[in-house]
Amino acid sequence: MLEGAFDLVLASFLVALGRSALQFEDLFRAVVLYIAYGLLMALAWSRLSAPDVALAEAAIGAGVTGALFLDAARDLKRAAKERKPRVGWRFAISLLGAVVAAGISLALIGILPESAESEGLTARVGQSLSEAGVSQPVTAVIMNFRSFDTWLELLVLLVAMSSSLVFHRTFRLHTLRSSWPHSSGPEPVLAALANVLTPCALAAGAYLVFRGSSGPGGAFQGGALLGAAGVLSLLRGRGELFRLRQRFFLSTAVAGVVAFLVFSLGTGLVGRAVLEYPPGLAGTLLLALEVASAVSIGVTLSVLFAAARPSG
Amino acid sequence: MTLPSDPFWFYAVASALLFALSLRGFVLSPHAAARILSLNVMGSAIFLFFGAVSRRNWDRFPDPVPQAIVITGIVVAVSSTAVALALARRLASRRGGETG
Amino acid sequence: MWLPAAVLIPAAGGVLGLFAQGKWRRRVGAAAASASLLTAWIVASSAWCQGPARYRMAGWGAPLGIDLRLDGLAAAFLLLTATVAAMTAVFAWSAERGPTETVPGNFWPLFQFLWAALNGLFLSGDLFNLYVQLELMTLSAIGLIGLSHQRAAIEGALNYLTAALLGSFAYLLGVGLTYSAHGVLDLGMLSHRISASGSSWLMLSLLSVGLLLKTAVFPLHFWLPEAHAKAISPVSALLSGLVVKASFYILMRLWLEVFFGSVSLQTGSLLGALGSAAILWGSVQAIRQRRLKPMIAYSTVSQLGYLFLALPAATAAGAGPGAWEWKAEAWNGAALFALSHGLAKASLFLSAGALISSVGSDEIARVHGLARNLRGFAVAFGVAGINLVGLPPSGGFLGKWLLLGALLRSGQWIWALPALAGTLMTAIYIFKVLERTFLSEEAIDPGAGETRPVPRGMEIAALVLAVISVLLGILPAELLEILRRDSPFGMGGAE
Repeated sequence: MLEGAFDLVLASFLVALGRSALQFEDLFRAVVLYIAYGLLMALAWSRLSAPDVALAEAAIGAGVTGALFLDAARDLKRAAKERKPRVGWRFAISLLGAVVAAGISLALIGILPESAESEGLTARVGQSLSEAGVSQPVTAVIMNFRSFDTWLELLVLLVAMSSSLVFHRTFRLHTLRSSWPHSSGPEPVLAALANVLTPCALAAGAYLVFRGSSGPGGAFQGGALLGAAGVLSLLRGRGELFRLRQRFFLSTAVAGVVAFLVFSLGTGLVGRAVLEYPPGLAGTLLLALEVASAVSIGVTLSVLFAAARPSG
Repeated sequence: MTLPSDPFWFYAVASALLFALSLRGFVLSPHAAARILSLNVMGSAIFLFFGAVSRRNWDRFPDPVPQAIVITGIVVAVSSTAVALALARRLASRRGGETG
Repeated sequence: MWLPAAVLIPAAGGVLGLFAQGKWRRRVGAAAASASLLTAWIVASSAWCQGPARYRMAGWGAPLGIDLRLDGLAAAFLLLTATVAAMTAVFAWSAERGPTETVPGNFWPLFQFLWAALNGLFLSGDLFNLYVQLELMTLSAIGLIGLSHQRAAIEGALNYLTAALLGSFAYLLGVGLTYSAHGVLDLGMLSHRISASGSSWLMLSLLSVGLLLKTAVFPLHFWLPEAHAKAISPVSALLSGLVVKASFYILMRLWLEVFFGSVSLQTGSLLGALGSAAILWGSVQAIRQRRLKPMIAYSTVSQLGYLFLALPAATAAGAGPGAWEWKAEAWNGAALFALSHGLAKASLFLSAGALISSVGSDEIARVHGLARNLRGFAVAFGVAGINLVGLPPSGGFLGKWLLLGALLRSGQWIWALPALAGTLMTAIYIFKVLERTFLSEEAIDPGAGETRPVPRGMEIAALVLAVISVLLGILPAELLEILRRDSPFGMGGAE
């Protein structure tokens, strides 16, 4: 009874917070509320027995997305004020929204109970978990059973990074330096914070990657923390990171995709199915792929953050 | 067995409400940044729905497949958001920019 | 056969391309394109040498893992992608030596990633995997649109991305409902478990709305004209030729295979109505355009409407082998139309690109008498135009013929009217251009006579695509045989 009450309160707050984040008069306020909403969402995920997702939502959904929006809010506030819809129109849309919500809720009430009989894939995951190389079911699904999706997801990150760089007219990372100059004025609080947090984020990220095999964590959550470290150093004014060799950066960014490609080649040549782990080596290989992926994710997220700023 | 009193229902209904709210927000958005923000809320609402689905049998183990789907979805969403914001910022910084 | 290679090889080519610099960018790009072309051919041809195939990724088959499936329909679309992509690569390669609108080196890696996404999409047998493929495709396309750096292109890209994300979320919600009700994500397994019911209708609606938004069906088409017209020409070719077909392909799979029987005539008629609106509205807008690329882009909106005319026929009441025949015919017609339109539209955009390269702009007023100087452009435009209008013998004609036949035999003859009206209007705007190109004696604009020579590759690419689109109409028996290989609407059929 008590736990139900907690969930009711949490869900209500979630809806209320989401609603207030969608008030667009003050963009900055909306973004901050959105970050809070994301963190509360992470709490909801914990209640739904999904700690991996909670970590991902907190780090990526609230963290990286929030950082992207905050950095963008400055530019976009100036350009805002396109149009404000009339009151009658707003009411109609709100009514439509209410109808949609009611409709979906009814549909859920109709579908979800009957769907409980269909167990989904929980049982199958449980059965195959011992051969998966890890003991955490979600990691097994991500890195083994549905690894094709994960590889594509890494490719999506890479393509997003490449597309963002196109808007700078080039793939050359050092052009990002002009948007991220070396720290000019004194920003002691930010500097101190970054000095402490960056190594913490790196350590925590690395820990999460390795922890993912037996508990909540994994490449994405750890990689997001690595990305956070990258973003922190950018904010600190370490734009000269981009003066590092282009090839080095690119290599780390593509490491995840390439690791999977090499793995596919290997498994294909050996006669197994593409991406099929050889028995016995599954745990080690999976971990290696996770490490490569986490590095990629960290670098890609940092470059995505950096490249969002228009050049010069 | 799914009971109406199982807590996951709260989250399922919350996801429906948030979906509707974000859809309304999208349609009524005054500018591009607002639309992108609405889309992000919409995405998280849909992910929350998946979360509810993963716990539709409250007394059993959670279903890991929807959770894996959500993690993939979160990463894809942040990639799309980053690109969208990059585009929007370019448009904002180049009012009356080059047309050649 | 190695189905995953069709996705892995283009992706690997793209990754390599990221590292190349200077003039190596297009060399690596061309090498990657050749490898992708070869791979696509091998994989697709294995469909009729060895028959349909199913590949279990990571060694775990459905439902725990993801399956790739190859059948006739997938093979046909793989070949479409390979052909259009290869010719676009030829165009882009030659364009580097052209006078204007050169193709930046950034084109090649994103081009490869787009190709990988398309191949993956056509081969995928998993509902959520399709979502990831769609996102990969969209983000690659966005980057490609951004290559032109014009403000209008950036705006078009942002609107496209916003619309695409909205569509993706609708689709994802549909995936969630479907999984929650049926517990699997594999298309084949879903088709066995799904029966007509209210909840199936809701799932299909959500999935379809998302895909319809991506296929730019009226009234959800608003993002297309700007995005397609303002991109550089090879990108426009890829977008209109391939990207919009991908979401329609998924729609076909869902309607025919997974949710077969869940669609009523009412829904079919609604989509037929939207398709008709697209045909008419798109054609009117195309006629009004003064520049070539926007005209071609609106033409895409119009032509995509034809695809949805298959639905009233396919959902019309009827049972038995006779009904099955015209339902299959309707879908075959739509598929054939999609294939030939992809080729023809890509050809048109490449021709427009050659024109821009030579004359500096794509204003229709400037094409007077160009047939003399830009022979390749003129012929390619003419041949592709014939396909678009639907004159025999061409793939477009055959597709429309099958569609109209199915509509008439199923009693849904009313939908033939917008089809015919659309054909007439297409003829208007196509022949407007052709007449000026071929028959005009003098140039209206004194400065317009000046044409710079265009690299042969650009014209050849456009011409090859146009010719192939016509060939599709000349080899109907073989082509339909390919489409029917173990396909849902082949003689084997679903159910």
